Amino acid sequence: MKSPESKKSPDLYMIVAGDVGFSSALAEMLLARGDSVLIIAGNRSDLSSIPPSLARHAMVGEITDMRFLKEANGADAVIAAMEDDSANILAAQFAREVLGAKHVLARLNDFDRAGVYREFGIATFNPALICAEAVIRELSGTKKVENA
Amino acid sequence: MKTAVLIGGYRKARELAIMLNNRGYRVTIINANDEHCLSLAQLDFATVIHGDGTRPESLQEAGARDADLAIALAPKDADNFVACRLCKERFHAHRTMALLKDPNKTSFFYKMGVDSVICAIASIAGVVEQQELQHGIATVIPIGEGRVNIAEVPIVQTAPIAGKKIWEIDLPREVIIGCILRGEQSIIPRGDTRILAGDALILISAHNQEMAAIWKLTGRL
Repeated sequence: MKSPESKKSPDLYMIVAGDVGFSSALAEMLLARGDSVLIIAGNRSDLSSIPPSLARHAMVGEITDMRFLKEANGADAVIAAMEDDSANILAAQFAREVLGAKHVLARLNDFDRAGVYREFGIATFNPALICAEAVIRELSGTKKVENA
Repeated sequence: MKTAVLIGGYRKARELAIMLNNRGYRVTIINANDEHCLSLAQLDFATVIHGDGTRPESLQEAGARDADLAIALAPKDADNFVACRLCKERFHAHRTMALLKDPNKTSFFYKMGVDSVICAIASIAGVVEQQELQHGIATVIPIGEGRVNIAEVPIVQTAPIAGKKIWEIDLPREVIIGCILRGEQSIIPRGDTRILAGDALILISAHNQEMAAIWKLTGRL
């Protein structure tokens, strides 16, 4: 396993935990911006499906594992985007309260749970909603063209 | 009447419900599984709510508001975390308890306001530690190919040497007390240094004399 990229001078040091496709895409964008990224894969098979170009920025671990997080200490931002909403809440809260991460963002899969996140002061993004909005934007764009 | 809400955990919830009922609690159980709910409903004293304990609506329905006890028994630590946080923060349950698998999360759960964190692994580790203490010996480190041993020996209240001065102790010739650990202090002892209960002695012994010495110091092996 490769150790994470050292965090010398980049603008932000981000930890991304969750779905491989999402983590990889986000990591690529962040790296392109000059940020430093650590992708946390839930298991070995997830790790192996991360693109080779990102392999040195990724490792297997559990975002709420204290011992593991000692290495990741000093993260500016933590993105918890796992399948399990409760795990995302726990991870986000942990990142803020224990790691002292300045930016904490959690994926919200179950829309009805938005209130819970809000209550705990955690910023969220909902993939389903973002997709729906993208589709609507696309459709309204088409409509405008038709109208014009 | 005191009220208790049990969240998740099928068999655990059943046993605990019976116990709490015997102690005079009015018990409500939240469970997400249909079959488990049907089976739990056979407890005629308990109210069973089919729902998800990490959601406010289910907790509301189960009467988590101002409940005397909210106990999260789900298999996933994160679910228990969310359930306890909601019971405490939103519903003002008086006492929240969470079952925890990962002992490393214990202090975080407490920090976030869970009143009691119950972790089986931590409990087992505690029992083992206690047994080691009762055996009077925590660690023995062999050095010089085992010709010399360094041992750390905790001195409990009942140890025969507790309260005695070093020169009053009849140790084997090949054994010395190199250091006394007392709280934050480490003391290099002299003949008139008194050993107190709660101290840990660092023993240096040659020729396999450590067991005899430990027996003298603690009264047992």
